[in-house]
Amino acid sequence: MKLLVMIETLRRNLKTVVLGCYVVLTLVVVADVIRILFAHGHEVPAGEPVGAAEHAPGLWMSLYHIAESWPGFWAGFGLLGCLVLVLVSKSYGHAGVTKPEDYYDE
Amino acid sequence: MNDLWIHPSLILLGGAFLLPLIPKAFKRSYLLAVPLLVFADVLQMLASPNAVHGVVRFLNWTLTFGRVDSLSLVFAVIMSGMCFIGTLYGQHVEEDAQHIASWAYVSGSLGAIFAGDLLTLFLFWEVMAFSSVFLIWFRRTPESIRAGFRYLLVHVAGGLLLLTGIILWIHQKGTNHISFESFGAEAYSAPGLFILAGIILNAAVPPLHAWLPDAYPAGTFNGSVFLSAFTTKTAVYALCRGFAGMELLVWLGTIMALYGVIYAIIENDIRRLFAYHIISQVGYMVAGAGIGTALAINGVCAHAFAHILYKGLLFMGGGAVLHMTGETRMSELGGLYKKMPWTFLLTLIGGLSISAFPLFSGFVSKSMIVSAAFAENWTPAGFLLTLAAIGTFYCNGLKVPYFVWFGKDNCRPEVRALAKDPPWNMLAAMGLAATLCIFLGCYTPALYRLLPDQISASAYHPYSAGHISESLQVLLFTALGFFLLVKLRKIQPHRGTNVDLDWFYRKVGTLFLWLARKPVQTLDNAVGETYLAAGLLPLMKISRFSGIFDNRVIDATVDGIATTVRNLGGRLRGAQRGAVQENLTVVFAVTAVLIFISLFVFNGFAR
Repeated sequence: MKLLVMIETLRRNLKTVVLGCYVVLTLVVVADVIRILFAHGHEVPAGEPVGAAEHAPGLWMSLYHIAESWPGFWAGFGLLGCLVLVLVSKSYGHAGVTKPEDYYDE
Repeated sequence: MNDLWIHPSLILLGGAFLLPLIPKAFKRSYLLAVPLLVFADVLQMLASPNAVHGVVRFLNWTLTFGRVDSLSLVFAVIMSGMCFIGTLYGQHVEEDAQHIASWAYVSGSLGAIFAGDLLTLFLFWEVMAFSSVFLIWFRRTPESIRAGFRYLLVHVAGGLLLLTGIILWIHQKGTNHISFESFGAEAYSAPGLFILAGIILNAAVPPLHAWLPDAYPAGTFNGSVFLSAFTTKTAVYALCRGFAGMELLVWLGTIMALYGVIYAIIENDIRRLFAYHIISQVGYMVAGAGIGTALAINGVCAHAFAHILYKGLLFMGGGAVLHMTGETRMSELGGLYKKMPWTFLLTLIGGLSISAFPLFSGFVSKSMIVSAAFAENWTPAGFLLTLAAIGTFYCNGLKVPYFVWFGKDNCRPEVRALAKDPPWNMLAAMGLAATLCIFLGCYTPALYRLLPDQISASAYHPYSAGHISESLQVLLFTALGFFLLVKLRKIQPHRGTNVDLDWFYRKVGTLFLWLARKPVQTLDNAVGETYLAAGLLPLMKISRFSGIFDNRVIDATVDGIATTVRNLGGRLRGAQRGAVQENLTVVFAVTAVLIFISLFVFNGFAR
């Protein structure tokens, strides 16, 4: 089976695969830097707010402008967001939400 | 009434009705033919959108069975399509009643989608609840029987909320105002809020959500595929129709998106994990309905469309693992890629689609809602929805593929021995869904041309440099975080039950039963002892007449009670075996068909 051979090949060359992943991560951030430098002054960022500001306090708006203008913002958001979400969920589970498997059995 | 228009639910119910009569040799083709016919029936409606069919005078009411417009059509197309995929997936199941139940369920959804008035909506709403419960019961484990009863009770309560709202609405507005349109400013009136409560219960909005992760993982391997697609998305349709632009929904939806993700992260059972992600994904749709702009409603429709396919695909993957191995807990799986490589690949495609990876379907639909949030200055909602997207990729794109198909092999020997790719029809259904997920992601007009607002849809371009860059950064760095946590051994799956709000009716219900049982038992014992001391002994000393009285009356009563208890026991045994459920499915299906047909016949004679 071809699919299985492909997976096995990838697993045998795990070091190369991991290295490739790091290269992709770097390239994604570099591309973002180029994009923002290039777009600076040329175009309005996609999704620029047009409506009234009633739903968004000032803090959120400044965060939005940081997100639109700092290269690599979303990379940090992804990494930190992932760690924070897992941390919050795990502590929520450990705070008594996770019970033994037979909890509901009588 | 246009004579050419046939209600798709009628085809499905008729098809379900005839299914037991079909000879075995033709059954598998018949199972595919009926959903295909339904799909074709819906597709031909695209030729003449914005039409009203099936208007029936019944007593004082004018019922509308076929409101066809761009909003109802986009939901109907994907639901009838999913009916085909789901039936193909379970095509090898030999029990007719299972197919009858799932078709009746889909017909309920399609009926609710095309309903032009509140009473018709309610009728089909109940058809959905009463047919879908069988998809849970047919698994026939004690746990699924119990979960089915809880599911039914919650949905009966939800249906009553909806009905209360409708009755109050009619009471206020008069019998001529039952058409189902946007409630506008009346959304916050008492009838509006009751109707809203009934709908958001079906959409699984917290705190009315606990039925979903309780019931869906308890369903049969193929029943859960149907369950994942229809109930919540019908509710999303109803929100778009009746409550678009209601600000409360933006907050509820955002909370929902995060709530589902947090529970999914600590979940061990993959089908329950997927169920929590339904809550999370429907959260995007509820928020979109709350934003209510043309772009947002387009986004909701597109996301519901894409969601039905990729969530169906994920549940098919989870169902395949369950069907082949009998196990769905990540802590008891692992390393299955050698045994089930195709299931892995197809489920991964579902995982990448739900995570909104570029070139997959979620990317072109979810972004519409998030863009609409930022464009309307719902900035906090926009950020929080993006945060939820991180959790979505973490679970569906990384954690499930890793701990089921790679990672440490924790399989019991019998699980490992049973594991292999499922039968061809299951793989074909998954392949079809996966192909569509990629197709929708790559060729955007296919989906965008179906959306209600064409001006907004043609102006929206998901593949902008900024959007691709943002998505890739968020997703790939989430992956970095995941592998960091794997390396640190922080996220090994563990056995456990996560307590959700169903605790209130599961634990408090038990307490109530105990309270009820305890006094009753005490009373029963007391009566028994009194009878022995004060009744039986004196009786033995009294005359023959009393003896006859004793024989005739008291014995008969005792015998009667004994017989009743035995019969009741027999019925409960029947429930455990599923015999009662089987009979009930047929009864419900037949009743639905009869009501449907008699309405149309009645209407024919009335003219």
